[in-house]
Amino acid sequence: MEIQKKKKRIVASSAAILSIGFHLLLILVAGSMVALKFYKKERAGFQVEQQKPKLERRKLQLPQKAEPFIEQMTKPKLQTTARITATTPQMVNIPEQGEYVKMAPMPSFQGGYTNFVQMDRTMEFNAKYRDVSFGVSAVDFFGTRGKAEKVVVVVDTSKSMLFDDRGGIGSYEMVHADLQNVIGGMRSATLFNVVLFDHQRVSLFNPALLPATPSAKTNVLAWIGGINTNLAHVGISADAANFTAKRQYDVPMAASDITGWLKGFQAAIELKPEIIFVLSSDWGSVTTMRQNISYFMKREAFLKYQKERAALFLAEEGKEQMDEYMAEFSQLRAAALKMLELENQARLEAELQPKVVRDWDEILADNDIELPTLPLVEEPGELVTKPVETRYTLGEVLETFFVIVMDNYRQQGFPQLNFVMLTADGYTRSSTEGVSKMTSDAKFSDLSKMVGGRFRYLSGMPKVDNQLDQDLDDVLDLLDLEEM
Amino acid sequence: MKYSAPLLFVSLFSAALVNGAELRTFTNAGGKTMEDQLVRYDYDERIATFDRSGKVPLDTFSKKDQAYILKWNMAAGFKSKMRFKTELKKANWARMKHEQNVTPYWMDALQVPGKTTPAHSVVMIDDYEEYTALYFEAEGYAIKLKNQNFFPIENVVVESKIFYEQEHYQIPDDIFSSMEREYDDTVATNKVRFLSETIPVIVPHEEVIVHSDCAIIIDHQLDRSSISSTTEEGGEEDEDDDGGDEEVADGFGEWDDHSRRRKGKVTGIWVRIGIEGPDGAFIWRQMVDPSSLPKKVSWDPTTAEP
Repeated sequence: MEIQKKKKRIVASSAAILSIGFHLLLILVAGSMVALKFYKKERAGFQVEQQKPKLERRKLQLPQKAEPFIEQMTKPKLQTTARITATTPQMVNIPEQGEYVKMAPMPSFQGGYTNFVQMDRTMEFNAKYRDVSFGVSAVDFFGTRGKAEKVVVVVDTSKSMLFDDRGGIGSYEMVHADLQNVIGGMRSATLFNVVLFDHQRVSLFNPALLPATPSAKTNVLAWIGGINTNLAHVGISADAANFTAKRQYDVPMAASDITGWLKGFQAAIELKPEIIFVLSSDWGSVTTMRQNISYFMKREAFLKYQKERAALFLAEEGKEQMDEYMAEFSQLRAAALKMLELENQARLEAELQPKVVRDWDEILADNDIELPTLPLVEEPGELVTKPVETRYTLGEVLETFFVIVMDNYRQQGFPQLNFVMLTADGYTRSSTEGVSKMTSDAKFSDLSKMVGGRFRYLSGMPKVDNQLDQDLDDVLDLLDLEEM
Repeated sequence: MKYSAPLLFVSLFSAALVNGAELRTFTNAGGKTMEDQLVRYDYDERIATFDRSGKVPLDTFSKKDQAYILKWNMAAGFKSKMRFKTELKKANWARMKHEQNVTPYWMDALQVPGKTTPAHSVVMIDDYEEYTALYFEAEGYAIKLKNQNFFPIENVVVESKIFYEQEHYQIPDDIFSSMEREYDDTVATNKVRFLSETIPVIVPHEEVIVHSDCAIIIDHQLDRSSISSTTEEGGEEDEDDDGGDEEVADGFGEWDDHSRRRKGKVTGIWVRIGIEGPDGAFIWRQMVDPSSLPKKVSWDPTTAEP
């Protein structure tokens, strides 16, 4: 019994222990779960939480007003920048006075010394507005291109632009059309001018650069449009030549010998543009018809040389020989003038413009009639004046060119220069004379390279053929008949 | 403190010396006069300081004396090398270069009666080559003026003379002339270019740059030589018995003689910067470059400028 009691006590105690253990285990699990939750909450409490927007801010937000989209788009955007608040270009004085390149910011000081009206603000003006391409126009003149806000175009109006072999009036119409594009495409704030030249005569559209406003463009195009439309009156009339040099230059060329493109260029340079386009048909004041040799003549020395030559010729050959030469030339000249008259009559009947010739013997050459060979001086040493003294060397012309530019631009250096030369359709560029730098294009090409400019050939329209094929004897007979 | 009195004396003495101040009779707006020496002028406060009378407001003086005091002050500021700074800088503004090798030619021109264009006869001198080199340089000076005074300097006249030398040939380049002794002789010409500009005002701390006129320097070189290199090939040129090693063309002389050169250089610059002084006479400050220039040339104000 005692054993059973002992067994019952043992069983009862072990069940109690188990129960206690089980409960303890439950308590431990539950406690650990609670503890786990507690620790989790504690860690979350140390984390830095981002502050959520307060509710009050929402109250400050205004309800958005619904507007049509187009209204929002068309509202002007308010901007305050230095450029917009800068003085308008019309207000800026652009005088041609001394150049003061660098200016310090305006200081604050007392006193009445704020007179800046006379100060040249050209450079500042350029710098300020170049950033926004104000007034800068891109110009393409017969393939020579450039961008600038001061542009001058120099155009040849002489007879040599209208020769038959250079396409006659058709080529000049081409020039008119290109000028229309160039000038018409300029921005209204671009300052420009057009210079026309015809040997000694130079005509400026305006005495100074002027803004390319629509009215200015219309006026200049009307002015150009009136030039060389009627080939009976080619070039610039004496009263239209309005250029006189602003200063004297210390150059090897006499002022009266500076003609053609060089004189037109001088007029352009004195306007101090940033870019100059020159369209010319010849280099010098003398250009031979066939060989295309071109140079600037020393007029005074040439006349002296001719007198010396005539005297030498008379001494060597005698007066009779001289008279024979003169009679032959006179007869041929009369025939040539008659041929020209007949040719122009035929052109008039065919509703064509009259023939433009450099000299009377050109129509003789057209009809395969040669002038008598010129008597050469056998001993040039006998003459006081040398033939070489009757023309300017290339070096002398280049020196004149360089001095004219630098006397006007000084520290600003060279402007952009572009040269275009009108040539006959199918012009042969390489020739013996060209290799020896005697031709116009060889000289223009070299000059362009020297100044870092561009040179382009402008091939003229197809050659204008004569209406008549004339015979010298027929014309001489006709002259005899007329005399009778 | 014991050094302050001598220091003040020295500074006042030096200021008087620098400014060229002297005893002068000043008149006030009421017509009263005082004889004193102007020592200093405060531009902001508009107060003049005198040696004996001390500080006197500018407005108390007559209009004429007010103008005098302002000009005196401006002259003092202008003359100070620390407060009115000047600088010269030489620069090459542009250059143009031309080199070519061509066949020399002789060209005659004859005026045919009634014709505009002369008739030409050209003889190409084949087998010979002509080398020409031409260098053009435009040189000048930048004249920098900086006003570090606290007041403006008005009507500043800047006169500059750039001196340069240029050689010229004595005879023209005719191929027949190369036989002449003077063919390669050159004559140097001294040239000077004058430029005067007036700057209306240079405000405090303003820097103004003006420029001298431009000196055009030319370097020309001519060289003619034979290109008929037939000596090794046994060409026709070598068959001349009397030719030897020398190339001779009829009438054109020896080709070794066909070379010549002329050059030029900038000698220097002389700059005068001036303003009108209180007495009406001009006050000049001068700058030269190089410093030895006055030994070679002179600034002659009596000569009429171009």
